[in-house]
Amino acid sequence: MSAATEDLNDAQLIDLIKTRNQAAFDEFYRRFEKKVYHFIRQKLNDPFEAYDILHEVFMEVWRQAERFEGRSKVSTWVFGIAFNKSVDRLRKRKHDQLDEEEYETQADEEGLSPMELVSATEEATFLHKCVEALSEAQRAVVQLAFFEDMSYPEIAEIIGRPEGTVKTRIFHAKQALKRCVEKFTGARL
Amino acid sequence: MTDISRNELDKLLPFYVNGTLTKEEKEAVEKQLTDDPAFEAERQYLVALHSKIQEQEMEGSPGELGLARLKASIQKETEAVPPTLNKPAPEQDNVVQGWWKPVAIAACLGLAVMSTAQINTAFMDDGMTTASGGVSSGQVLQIFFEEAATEKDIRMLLRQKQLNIIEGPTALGFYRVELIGNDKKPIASVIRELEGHGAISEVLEE
Repeated sequence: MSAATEDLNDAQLIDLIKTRNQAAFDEFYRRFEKKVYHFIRQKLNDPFEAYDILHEVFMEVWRQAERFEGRSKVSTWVFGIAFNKSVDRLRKRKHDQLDEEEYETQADEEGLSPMELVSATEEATFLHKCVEALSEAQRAVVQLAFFEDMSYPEIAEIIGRPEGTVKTRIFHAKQALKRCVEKFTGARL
Repeated sequence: MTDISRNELDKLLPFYVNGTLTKEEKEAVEKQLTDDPAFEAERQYLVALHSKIQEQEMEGSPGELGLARLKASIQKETEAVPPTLNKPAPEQDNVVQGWWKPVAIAACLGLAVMSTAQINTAFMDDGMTTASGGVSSGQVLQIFFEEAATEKDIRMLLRQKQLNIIEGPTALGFYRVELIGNDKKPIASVIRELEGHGAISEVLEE
């Protein structure tokens, strides 16, 4: 049975999940689990919460598969669920969040030349720390654009914001990353 | 070709790098790349950035352990659905329910093995430690407590139900507990009692 489900595309798996097909659900989980967990983990910065949210996301897939109408890609739908659940969890957290717009403005000043940054980003450690330092809103779009290779219309659908916001957000995130890498490398500021 | 402003092209460049622009947008970006060395340098930076982010390692995800937990939750949910008066259960549903039972048992057994393996690998990177060696001589359960449960709630519950923590909290957030005073009570009954407690969100049998 699993050999058969492996050959199905994402939408076909969802159609089977609608009929409560367990093998299809298993295959769907195995196909998306790592990426969705990575996305949630990046957003929440907490492995325990990420595990809980991942569980909730796939429970939602099981419960709500019937509502998926195929108007968007399956991956967009799943990441949308993950995004919304992560946002809900973040809202529950007590500590203050850095104001996104303020952060973006601060990070928007010019620093290293692009070519200098090419070599600066040779150090993946710096980059990892810099991505973590982004606001959670920026981190989400960076992950979706650069890790999942999603288009800006897809990202807009996932995060429930206009396409223009996605483009602006990733533009500012890119600038913030430049500035952050400069700090780590001690290069020209 | 639509005339796209330089500002807009700057915003499109990340999506040029990840290969998701429309044909028209792509052509506009490529024209700018030819005409503007600074824009081309920016592209090179984004290519490096994209490449490094793609190289990120996926943190240790729950894997099969997560699937086992899902199956247990789904089975619990399925069993919790009350029978309807007007709609007899279709034959196929019976097949589904029957299918779940051995899977759920296997999942619970699998949890014990996989949790040990996973905790010792990826999740341990996050600084988790276990309370003890996890050695038990009796019946062991995995308990997930509610987020709001306090240490006092947990302590009182353990005392009331005669449970002994042998490991936890694990990286996945559950405690492994041993039953020390419920020898004569069926395990299913103990689990039902525990699941009825407000501080507990889920109980799994190992």
